[in-house]
Amino acid sequence: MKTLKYIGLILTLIIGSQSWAQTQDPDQNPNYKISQDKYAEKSDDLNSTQGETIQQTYEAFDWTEFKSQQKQDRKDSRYNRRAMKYQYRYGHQNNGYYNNNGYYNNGNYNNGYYNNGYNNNNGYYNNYPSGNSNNVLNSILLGTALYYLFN
Amino acid sequence: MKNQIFTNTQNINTMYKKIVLKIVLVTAVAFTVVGCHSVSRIDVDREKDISGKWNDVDSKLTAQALTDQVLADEWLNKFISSQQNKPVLIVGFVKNKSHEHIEAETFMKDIERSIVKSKKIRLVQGGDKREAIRGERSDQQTNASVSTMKKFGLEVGADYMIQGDINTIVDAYKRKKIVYYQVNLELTDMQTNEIVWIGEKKIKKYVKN
Repeated sequence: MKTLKYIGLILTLIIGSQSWAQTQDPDQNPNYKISQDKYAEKSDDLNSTQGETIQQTYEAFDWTEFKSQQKQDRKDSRYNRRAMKYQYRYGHQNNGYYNNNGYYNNGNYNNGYYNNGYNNNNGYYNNYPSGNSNNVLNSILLGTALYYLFN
Repeated sequence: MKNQIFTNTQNINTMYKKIVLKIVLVTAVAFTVVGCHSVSRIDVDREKDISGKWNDVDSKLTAQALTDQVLADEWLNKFISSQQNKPVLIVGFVKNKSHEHIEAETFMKDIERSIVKSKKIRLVQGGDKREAIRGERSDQQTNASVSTMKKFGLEVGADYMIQGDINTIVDAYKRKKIVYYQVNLELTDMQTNEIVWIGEKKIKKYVKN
């Protein structure tokens, strides 16, 4: 019985000394292990940027850039308008020049740059009458003129 | 007679060459003057407003005012006399609720620097930088020697957190504009959630374009 008590005492001392060895500092947070384990998992990620410059820049307002961008937008808008006008005038002839040469359909106008909602979705170009209705109107006018001419 | 004509032609040729050379030179100089842009260093303390937006002068004025307020207020003496120790501060967020891009870090760093220099208050790291410190400490647990390894659970806990916000009021008509900036910083007790100090800096600008 006495031997068991001694063994128990020795074991308690050993376990106690081990736990003391882990914390050592009396001021150390008793839950330090939780944080230690948490950071052990992500320390590689956290240390991967050491010695590097982390770029967190922002675009400052620049008057000259703003003006040149406005100029470019105006230019694009004019160019688009002219192209649309030309297509509207001669496109209905289906001569294959503007529709099948791959230039206007090759993605230049569909690459996301011109499809920024500025030129294509403002309803401006949708106000043009369609080619079909124009053809019908022309035919009616021509027919009427010929009818009056021959009578 | 022939010789005279030859000499005259030579003179005319030389004159033309001179004129052409002058034109080329003048054009080159004009292009150089028009094409180049100049850059010069100016004194950082020089006050210069260009667009009327928030700039370095505002940041500096804010930092000065808030530093003076935070170090002179009675909360500091109260804490030192009751705790017999320096208070520990952690810097929280500053919310920009204004209509402009304002980088609060410029004046917050000035305030932090003044606080550290004053030696009346202690500062602890927060945010991303603290994460990086802990990451490095974690790395030390398996790679550094026992004598140099830094332990977890021994960081200094902050007594107060400093937080802030930036607000603006804009009053504009035609080409005239009045912009009113108000920067507030608050110090909150971490234990009791009590606000012990509120600092403010107000700036009013009249801008005419």
